[in-house]
Amino acid sequence: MTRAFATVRLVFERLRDRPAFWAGVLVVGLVAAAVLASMVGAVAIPLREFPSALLDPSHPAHQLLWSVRLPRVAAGAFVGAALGVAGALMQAVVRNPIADPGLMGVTAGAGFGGLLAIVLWPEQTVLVPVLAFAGGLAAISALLAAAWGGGRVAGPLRIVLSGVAVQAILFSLIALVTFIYADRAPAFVSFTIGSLNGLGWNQVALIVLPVLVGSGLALLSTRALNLLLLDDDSAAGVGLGVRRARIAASCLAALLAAAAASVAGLVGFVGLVVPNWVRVLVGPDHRVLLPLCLLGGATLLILADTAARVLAAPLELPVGALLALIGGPYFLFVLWRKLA
Amino acid sequence: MSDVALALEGVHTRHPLAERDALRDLSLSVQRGEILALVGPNGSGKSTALATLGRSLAPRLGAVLLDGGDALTLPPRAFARRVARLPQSPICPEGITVSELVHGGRHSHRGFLQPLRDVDLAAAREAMRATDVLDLRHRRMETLSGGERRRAWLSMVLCQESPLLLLDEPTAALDLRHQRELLSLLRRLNAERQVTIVVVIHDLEQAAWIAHRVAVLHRGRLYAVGTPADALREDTLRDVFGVEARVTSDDDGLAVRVLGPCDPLRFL
Repeated sequence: MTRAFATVRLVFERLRDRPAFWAGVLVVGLVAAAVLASMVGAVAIPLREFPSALLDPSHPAHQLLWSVRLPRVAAGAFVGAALGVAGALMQAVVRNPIADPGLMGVTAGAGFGGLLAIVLWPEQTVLVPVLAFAGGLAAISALLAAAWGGGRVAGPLRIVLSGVAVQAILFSLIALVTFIYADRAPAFVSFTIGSLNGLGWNQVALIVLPVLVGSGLALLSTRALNLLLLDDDSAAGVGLGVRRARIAASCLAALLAAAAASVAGLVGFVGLVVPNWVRVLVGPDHRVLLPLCLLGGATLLILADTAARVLAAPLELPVGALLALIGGPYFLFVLWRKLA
Repeated sequence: MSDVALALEGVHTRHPLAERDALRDLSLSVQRGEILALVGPNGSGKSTALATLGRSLAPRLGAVLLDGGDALTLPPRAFARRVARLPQSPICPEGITVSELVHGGRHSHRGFLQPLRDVDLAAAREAMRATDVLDLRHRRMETLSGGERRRAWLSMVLCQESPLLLLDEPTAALDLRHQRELLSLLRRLNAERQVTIVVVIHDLEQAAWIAHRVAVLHRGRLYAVGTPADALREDTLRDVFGVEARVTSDDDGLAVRVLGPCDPLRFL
C-alpha cells in the first residue's frame, strides 16, 4: 500500500514539470465535461446520438441542445474560467493561497452591485455588469485597504479576517436589499445563491468580452505577477512598481469576478480551489498557472453544474450552494495546513 | 574616487507605526567606486540607512540623491537599473527554481512583454556562476540550504547589473568559507567592474577587510566615518558598542579583540 502510494508520488513528481501534459489533460477534461453536461438531464442524449443531435436540425434533441444545454455549458465555461483566473490573480495580489474572490467579498461586492441594478432598474440589463464591476472593485479596494493599512505586511490571518469582514458587510447589505425588495424575489433569488439555471446565449454574449479581455490582460502580465510573489522589498528592488502592479491585478480580478457574478450570481470557491490544485500540478509560475486555471475553472464549474442538475433531479440545485458545500471544508483544510 | 554616487542629506526616517525616527538628521555620501561598510550596534539605524538609500523606506525629511538628482522621484525600473539591493530576509514563493528567481533580476532591463533575450540569459548565467549556484539552477528554492538560498538571492541582485549595489548583511547565514568567498566576490566586482557597494555588516573585522571606508552609526546618527583604522578605534567601540576592545592592525587586516566580560547592568 505504502509502496503504491510512493510510486504514485514519484510519477506525480516527474509530471510536475510537464505543463504541456497537464494542459492536454485539462483540454481533454474540458471537452469531456462539456459533452457530458450536454448529454445528461431530463432528456438524456446518448453519446452515439450526440453528433447528430448537434448537427442535424431534424433530430428531436437538436433544439434542446442548442437553446438550453449548450448555452448553459458555454456560460459555465466562461464563468468558471473567469473565477479560476480571478482567484489566481487575487492570490498573487495578497501573496497568499487562501485568497479567493468568493471568500474575500469581491464576488459579494459584485453580487451586491448586480442586485442593486436588478431591483432598482429592472429594465436596464446593461447596468447589471456595470454595477457588478463597480461593486467588485469597491470590495477589493476595501480588502486591500484593511489588509495593508498602516503599512505593515499583512499575514494570512489578517487578510482572511479583512476579507471576512468585507464579506460580512456586503452579505448584510444583500440581505437588506432582498428583504426590502422581497416582492421582486423571482428576479434575483437564483442570483444571490449562484446558479447557471436558465442561462441563454444572451447572457453568454454579455460576458464573453470582459472574460476574454480580463484573462488576456492577465496573461500579458505574468511577469509582473511572478514578481509580486516575492516580498515587496525584493520586487521593488528589481524594478517592479509594486503598488501599481497590485492595483492593476486587483482591477483585473474584480473585472473577472464581476463578469462571472453578473450572469451567475454568487458562485464561490472555484477561485480558491482551482489555482491551488493547479499549483500542485505545475508550480507557481503564472505563465503556466493562469492558462491552466482558465481551463481548470471552466472544467470544474461545468462538472459541478452538471452534478447540481443531476443529483436531485428533477430539481435543479443551484451550483453555488453545491460548490460552497465542497469548498467550505476544503477551505478549512487549507487553513488548517497553512496555519498549523 | 571623488564624485558622489549616492547620498543621504539631512535624512529623518521613521519606520511605519514607530513613534520615533530611526534616523535623525543623517547625512552620508557614497563615493563612486568605493566599498562603504555601515556598522553599528543593534538599533543604530544602519539597516534603516541602507533601506533609505535603496528607497525601501521613504525618508520623512531630507533628500536621497542619486548622481546628484532626486532618487525618490525616479520610476522603479529606472532606479533598479542604477541601484540593486538585497534585503535582509527576502521571501520567495514555494516551487520556484533558482534560475527562475535569478531571471527576475532582469526585469528592469526588459520591455513590457519582451521575452528573455540572450543578453539576459548570459547575465543570469554569469551571476549564477559568480555566486556558485550554477549547478543548483534547476533546484527549487525551498530545497536549498540557508546559505545556498542566500547566494541564489545575491545572484538575482547581481544579474541586475547595476553600477550600485546595496547589501544588508549578505554574509549572515553563510559558513566561514562562503562568507569569505562572498566578500571576495564583492571586492572583485568592485575592482574589476567599478561597482560601488554599500554593505551593512555586523562583523567589524569583515567590515574592515572589505571596505575602503567604514561608517559607524549610533542612535540614528553618523558617529564616525573614514578608513577602517580611523573609524574603528578603541574609543569608538567603547562609546558606540559599549565594550572594551583592543584593535590591532597588520597585513592580514584589522583584528578586534573584546576584553573581559561585559556587564549589561553597567549603564544603569
